[in-house]
Amino acid sequence: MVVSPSTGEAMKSSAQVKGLPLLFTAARVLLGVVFIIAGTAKIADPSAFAATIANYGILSGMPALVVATILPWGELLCGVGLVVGLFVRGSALLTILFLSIFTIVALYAMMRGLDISCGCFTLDPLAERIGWKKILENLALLGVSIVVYRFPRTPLSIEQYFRNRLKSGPES
Amino acid sequence: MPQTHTFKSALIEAGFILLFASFLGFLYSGFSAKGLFLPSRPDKSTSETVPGKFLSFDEALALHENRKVLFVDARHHYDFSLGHIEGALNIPLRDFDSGVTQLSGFAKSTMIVTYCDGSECNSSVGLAAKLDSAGYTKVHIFFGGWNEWLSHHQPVKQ
Repeated sequence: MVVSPSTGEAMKSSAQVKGLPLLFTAARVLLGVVFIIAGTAKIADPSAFAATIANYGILSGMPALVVATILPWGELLCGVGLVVGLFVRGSALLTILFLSIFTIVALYAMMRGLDISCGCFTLDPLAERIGWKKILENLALLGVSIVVYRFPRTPLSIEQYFRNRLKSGPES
Repeated sequence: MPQTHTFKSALIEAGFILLFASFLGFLYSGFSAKGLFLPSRPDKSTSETVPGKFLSFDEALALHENRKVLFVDARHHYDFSLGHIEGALNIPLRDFDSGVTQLSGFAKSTMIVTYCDGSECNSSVGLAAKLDSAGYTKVHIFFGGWNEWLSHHQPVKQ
């Protein structure tokens, strides 16, 4: 069978390769956990996160506050979705979007020589300076996100559970 | 086209997640009175020059012209280096313990005015609280902060 990873059929066939499905599950859960940690770290204090955002010199004031209000919850929801396996594709699409933006913004800040804190996993302004390490971290997570987006049908997920149920016995 | 179909459904899912995230974010901020819903002037009635109170722009300006008053910038070093109120010292809230040593030459009764960016930040209030507990008796907060100062074209230093 020809395996082309971009179609649903191929996903099924690649999922038949022993071990691979669980590897994709691991990628999904890992990505989810990272986003849960990132989200919860920033949820409690939107003002502090807005200040961190403002340090990047792109958004400030009200727009920064709006982003600081929504983004941590978005990260948390994506994280939870990925861990439990619900809205996997949507979550993965969002993590791809988030990580791409984070990477571009961090590069832009580095280009201008800003020595600021990342605001990724903590709001402590002294921790986690942006730098190449952060960029690489982002790119690695971006890679995982793309894998999860391409192979969202993995074992141990709510979506898969319902898919299996529908397949095995349509409602009478 | 299964691929465009799955992308479309992923996009719908993503939109739903973002919508729900916005809902939760606003709900949380609203209930906890944080971030967007932070009262922009926590205590409006007490804007006279009593220790630990909020100063209006005019009051801050009047104090600035009186050279015995010390302005302390609570923002990050980087923001401070880009520009600050003339004569201000920089004690970022998180670096308080190391930064406060800059004040060792000043008496505890020195009048101090803290500020940060403006109404969207809180570090001026936090800094004032820390200075207060460090024993400084005349600490005020210029809540309009750097933004309001700039908008009035007052003396700045870069």
